Amino acid sequence: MPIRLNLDRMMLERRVSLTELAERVDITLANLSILKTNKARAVRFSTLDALCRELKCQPGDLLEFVEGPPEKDPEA
Amino acid sequence: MKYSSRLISNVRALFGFVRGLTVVTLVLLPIIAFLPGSYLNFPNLPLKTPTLVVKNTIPSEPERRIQIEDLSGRLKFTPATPEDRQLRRVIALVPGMAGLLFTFGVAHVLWRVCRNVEHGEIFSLRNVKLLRNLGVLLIIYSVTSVVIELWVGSHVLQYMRDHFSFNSLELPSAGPWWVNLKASTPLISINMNQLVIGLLVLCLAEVFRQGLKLQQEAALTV
Repeated sequence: MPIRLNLDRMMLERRVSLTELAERVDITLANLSILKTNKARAVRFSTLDALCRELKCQPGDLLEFVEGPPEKDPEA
Repeated sequence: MKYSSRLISNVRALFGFVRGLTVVTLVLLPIIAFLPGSYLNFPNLPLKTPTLVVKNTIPSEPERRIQIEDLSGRLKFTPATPEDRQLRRVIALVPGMAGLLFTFGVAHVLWRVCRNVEHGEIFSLRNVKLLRNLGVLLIIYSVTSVVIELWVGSHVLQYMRDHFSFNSLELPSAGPWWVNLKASTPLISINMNQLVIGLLVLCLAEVFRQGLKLQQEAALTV
């Protein structure tokens, strides 16, 4: 996907584990893992707000646009 | 996540029953067709009367020649020869087997959709494909059933021309079975209900596909 979430990089910089971050932002480990592995299709502002608060960063630090073809719809 | 609904379970059981019944009938039909002693029975046989010279009740008016066309009736007689019995088998087996196979296909697809829903798979790729298959099956059968009827009807008519002679009735003129389409149009027509339902089911498959997309979006929205 062209929009990447650099959560893993930010977690490394802030030295926070996935489990700890999940508890702090009140998101399940599974969902946080989806974010970390860039499998998410959309992020709520409330989630972005919680992440930025806990990681003490800006949304721009987490979100990055990478050039590439747009993602295709899953063909049924 | 399982989706528990008594309605879905009952509907699935019903389709399962229809499916099983169709399989049993498919097995029994050839046996029944080969049983001796049954009538040969063919509906919708196209007929017409010979040209009749009729007198009027008003003496001053001239005679007229009239013919009644586009009649249809049920042909029924007891097979007396091996050829008669062979014809009976063709009439019983060909449309019957096609109809039963179609019914089995529909019941099986719907049974699988219900089973998927019970397992929590409502908007899924599997259900989309199943519904598409169902729509295509309905459309194909609405056309195929007409072709089969025409073929069997032509077969019966040809048999009657070869083996019987009539004084008071005329059979439609001979020709290849697909030519009889025009002659038989008043009696045999594409099952429009089935065709429309097939198209509606295809539209429903598209609705399910959109539902799948929305579900995926929602599942992967954190």
